[in-house]
Amino acid sequence: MLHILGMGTCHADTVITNKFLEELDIGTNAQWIEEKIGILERVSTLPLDYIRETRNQDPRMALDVASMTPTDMAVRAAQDAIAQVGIAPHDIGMVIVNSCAPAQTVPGEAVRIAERLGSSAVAFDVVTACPAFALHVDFLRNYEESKLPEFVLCISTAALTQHVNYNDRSDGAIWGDAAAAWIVSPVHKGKLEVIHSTFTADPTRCGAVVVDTFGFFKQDGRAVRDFSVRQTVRLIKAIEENYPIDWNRDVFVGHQANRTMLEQVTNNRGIPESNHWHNVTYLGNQAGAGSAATLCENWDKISPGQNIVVAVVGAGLSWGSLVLRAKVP
Amino acid sequence: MQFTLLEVTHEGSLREIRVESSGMYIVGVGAAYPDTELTGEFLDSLGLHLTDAERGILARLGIRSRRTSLPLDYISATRNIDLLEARTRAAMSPTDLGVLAARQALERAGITIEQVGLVVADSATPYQTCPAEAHRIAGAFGVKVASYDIVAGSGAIPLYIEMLSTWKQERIPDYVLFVSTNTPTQQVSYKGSALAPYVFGDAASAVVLSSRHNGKLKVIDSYLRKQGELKPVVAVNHHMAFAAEHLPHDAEVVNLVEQGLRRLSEKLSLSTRNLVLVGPQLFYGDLTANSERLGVSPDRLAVGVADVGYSVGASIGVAISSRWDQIGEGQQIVVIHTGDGLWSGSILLASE
Repeated sequence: MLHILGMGTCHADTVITNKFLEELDIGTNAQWIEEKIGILERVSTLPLDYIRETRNQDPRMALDVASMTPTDMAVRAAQDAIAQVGIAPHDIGMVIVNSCAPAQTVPGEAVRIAERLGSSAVAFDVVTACPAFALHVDFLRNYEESKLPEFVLCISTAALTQHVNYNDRSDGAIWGDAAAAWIVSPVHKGKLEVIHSTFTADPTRCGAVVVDTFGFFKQDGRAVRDFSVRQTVRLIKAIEENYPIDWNRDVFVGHQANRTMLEQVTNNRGIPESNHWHNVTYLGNQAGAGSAATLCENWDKISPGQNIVVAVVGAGLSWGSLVLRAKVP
Repeated sequence: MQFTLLEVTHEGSLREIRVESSGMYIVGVGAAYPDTELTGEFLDSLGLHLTDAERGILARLGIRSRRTSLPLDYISATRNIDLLEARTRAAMSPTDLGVLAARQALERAGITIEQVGLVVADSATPYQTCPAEAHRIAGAFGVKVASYDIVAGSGAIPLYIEMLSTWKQERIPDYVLFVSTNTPTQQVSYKGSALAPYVFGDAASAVVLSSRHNGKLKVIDSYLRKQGELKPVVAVNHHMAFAAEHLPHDAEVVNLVEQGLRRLSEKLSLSTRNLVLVGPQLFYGDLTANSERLGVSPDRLAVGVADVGYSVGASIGVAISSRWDQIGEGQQIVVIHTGDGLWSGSILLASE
């Protein structure tokens, strides 16, 4: 049995309001954004002046002005998680990282992060996109537990505002920059035990969401949104059929794509707002970091015996789910 | 799981050695590279002006020529300064190359893509960082299959083999397809004085692994360990960077290979007489120059770089693929890998 012992997050520090996007005069307004995707604010590693003046028309320049790289954010999130668990970087035996827009492809993000943390762990990137939380946990469940180290550090980090075309009225409203980290152990019991995980993909639809290495994020918005809602509902239904889920006690955490999409899911499954944890409204879509960051921010609210149901969908197209059960003292 | 290794003795007879193995088979290996050759003469004609020291380093690498997906006249005319323009002129993308290598691996495995339950890919030079390269490759085959990337630089294939050897049987699909694909020449600047143009070549390799179906090569032993601090020889952000100052000395490379061979000899009572060595591909020249000391004649050094160029994670697979059709009964293949400050390790493969 794997356990999640602790989590950490890092968010970018510059707030992009809907009013700011409206003032870019690109055919959008605050009311339209709020009604369409339910996001009021998002955070970026880019300075507002840079966005206003350049609209980020050459994303290769974004890194030059960014306050943080995906690696910087990941290191901070990892340090948070390590501190929460009360271990040292040298205790970590494996580092795996998801980054769907790394600033550098080689050496891998995981290798660079491990180096910055002062960890000598074996480190490699395990990459999908937004369903990274589910992929990483499911990936670790593949291992014979005796072959895993005591502590595995998992991270998802993305600074997708650095790949946004701010002349596009839709894309600029979606993304926020963040990293989330979580520490998994096959040996030590922690707050959450992993009782279920899935991950799979339909690569025939891999063109639906893309981030060009040197260019922009692009997606077939309507098709992706409809698919995401349908697939998230399917993932939750499958869990409801196999586990004793009680939405008056248990909690749903989805991919933080947008608020209206998440509301369609919770309405479909009868999940009360009090048991739906989300952070997209004020942080934007944080790609693969979003669901884990949301759980991290609610870490102290987790009650003994509670099931945390995670259902996440993203580029690939790929999707996965988790059931994490809170330890009963 | 027990496995019988055949060793050729000093007297030329066969000796049976019973060993524990992981139960994992390599059932197919494939490789692909573009047709266009990027010769040293062509690069010299660009006026890149290598120093004597740099030519000495090239000799250590053992790279005689390389393959590129770019037209030569495009390189001559532009020196490939605009990386986005390169993609529009390239004959192949990393995904195209990856698909070709995967097709050969599947064909050699005697299976179809529909029988594969997991696709994992690695690329240092993806056109898109999202979705994963594995999604694009599986998508090109038109299959719905679990897929994601595990990006591990030059150590990708050893990592995959080691990783799968430590997974639970019930969690491993019938067949797993691993692909490493790179088009570094599309990200090399062919302007000024630098080693990178002489080092890199475009290639992909693919490996099909199974723990349920016998294949040509059985994974007898695999071993990985973290190695030193990060001193990357290859770095990729926009243009490819090759940091020769981070290269280990030739003595270090040879020592590492010797240690790997010795470790296997002590653990499995093997000799080097009937094995093929897939050494660290970036140091093929060092291995050739020290073949006598290593006890492996040059004709038993498998090479994936000499005429293709260094293609990061793909090179080890290119080397194994080049020997695939000659693998006979009792053949042993030792893969010894050293990364750029990441990890090193060894894998022993044997045919049944």
